[in-house]
Amino acid sequence: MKTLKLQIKRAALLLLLAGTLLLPATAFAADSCQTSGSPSVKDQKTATSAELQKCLTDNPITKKLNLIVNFLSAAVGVVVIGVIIVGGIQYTLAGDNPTATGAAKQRIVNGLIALATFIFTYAFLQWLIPGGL
Amino acid sequence: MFAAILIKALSLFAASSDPCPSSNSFFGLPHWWKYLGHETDALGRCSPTFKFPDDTLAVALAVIDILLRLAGIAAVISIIIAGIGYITAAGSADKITSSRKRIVNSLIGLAVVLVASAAVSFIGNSLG
Repeated sequence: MKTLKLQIKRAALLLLLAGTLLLPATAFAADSCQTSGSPSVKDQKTATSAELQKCLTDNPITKKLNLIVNFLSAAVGVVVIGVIIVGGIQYTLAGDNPTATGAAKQRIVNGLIALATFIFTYAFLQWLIPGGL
Repeated sequence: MFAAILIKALSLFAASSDPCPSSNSFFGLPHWWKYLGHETDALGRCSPTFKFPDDTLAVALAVIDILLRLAGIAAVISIIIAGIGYITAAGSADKITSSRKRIVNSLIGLAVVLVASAAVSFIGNSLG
């Protein structure tokens, strides 16, 4: 009697497990790109890579992030060139004052450090994000 | 994507035509609206157009142009000051070395500015 009860319990548990695994896959199999909830395991296997890529690029968050990253990337170059030019003007106006030339040098070096940091960050993001920026 | 935006910005840099040319000049400095588009109203007055995210870089490039011109003016003035100092040094070794150092420093500053702007135009030419 006890073993039968255990067997029923086990069967019910198995059914429940199978149900939870199968339900989402069958329910959302038609749509590979859901607007709510994450895509199930089966969807990602059946959907082609192009479809998944479209899912990613059509995502509003991805769109906004790409806009911001592109704008800031372009701004970095302009700002670094501006800083170097200001440093050059500072150097020109330094006269024979060694501390003033030191300040100008420091400004130019800081601009170059910023550029190097940006390049390394961009390369790191390319490596980190699947599919690249 | 970064390259595409940079190319767009640098192509603006290459095609330099003032949308609203005016006879007013301030030390020959270029205008900040140099790379913007423009529209003409009913009275024939020209005004530059500015759209927020896209045109910010165009204004930034124009500001860089203004800075380049300022750097040239600063170098010329500094060298003239150093030359006057050299002339009026009258044999004083201190004043001569000071003037010479001023000339060298202004030339170094000019070289830095030229290298920076040359790097911009070189990258712009090689990308697009």
